[in-house]
Amino acid sequence: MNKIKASRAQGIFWGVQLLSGIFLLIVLGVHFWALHFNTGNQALSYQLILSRLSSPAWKVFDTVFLALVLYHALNGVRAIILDFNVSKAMRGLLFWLCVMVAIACFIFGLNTINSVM
Amino acid sequence: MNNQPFLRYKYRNGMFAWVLQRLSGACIAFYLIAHLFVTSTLTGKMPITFDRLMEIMDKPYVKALEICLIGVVMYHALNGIKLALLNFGVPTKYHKVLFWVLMIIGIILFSYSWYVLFPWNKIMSAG
Repeated sequence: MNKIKASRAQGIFWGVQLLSGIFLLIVLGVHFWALHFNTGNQALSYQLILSRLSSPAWKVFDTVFLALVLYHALNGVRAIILDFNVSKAMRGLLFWLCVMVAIACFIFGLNTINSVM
Repeated sequence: MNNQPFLRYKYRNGMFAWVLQRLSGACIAFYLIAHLFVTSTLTGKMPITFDRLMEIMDKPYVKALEICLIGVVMYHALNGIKLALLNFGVPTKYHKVLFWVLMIIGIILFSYSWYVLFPWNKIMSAG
């Protein structure tokens, strides 16, 4: 990869970081409202979570949320580590490590979302 | 002069906000992994049950951590809004004003969530 191409990719990563951040603000707001304010004056319980998660719309919502948050979190962690003057070889390794952690977490979270019928 | 300094930023202006943004981000990333683990107990296939975890979550030190988490997430979100606004063309000379206006909004929201989350009834009944 030449230098110009690499910097363009980093620019796109930052753009998506910014946009995912804005979306997360809204999605996290909804998530927080649904779990802490829309519970009909009762504490959050197993039954309450199950009844919400059994709806396909909430499943889609949570899946999108999970994907957005994992991108934002791992791209963020990558950016933090990159500030410590990481060598070129390590930068590639770091990128793929973050991709793998994100995929593993996505599958793990998706398993939870889909376990409720 | 070192040819590879550890940090090449000036220790003033947005440096403080930027360091906190990174620190809060790292904290939230760790919380995210923990949160995914907690929710995974819903599957019933984890070594700990959901109800047992909820009992642990009810302990005062976990409540204290939750209140801290709210603050950390709010800081990250509000400073993030500042970054987005500056990125979308708000003149950078306003960055300090923007930061403090958002922080005042944050303090109000944080006070409200503290009021909601704090186990007042438990303290009252214990006393």
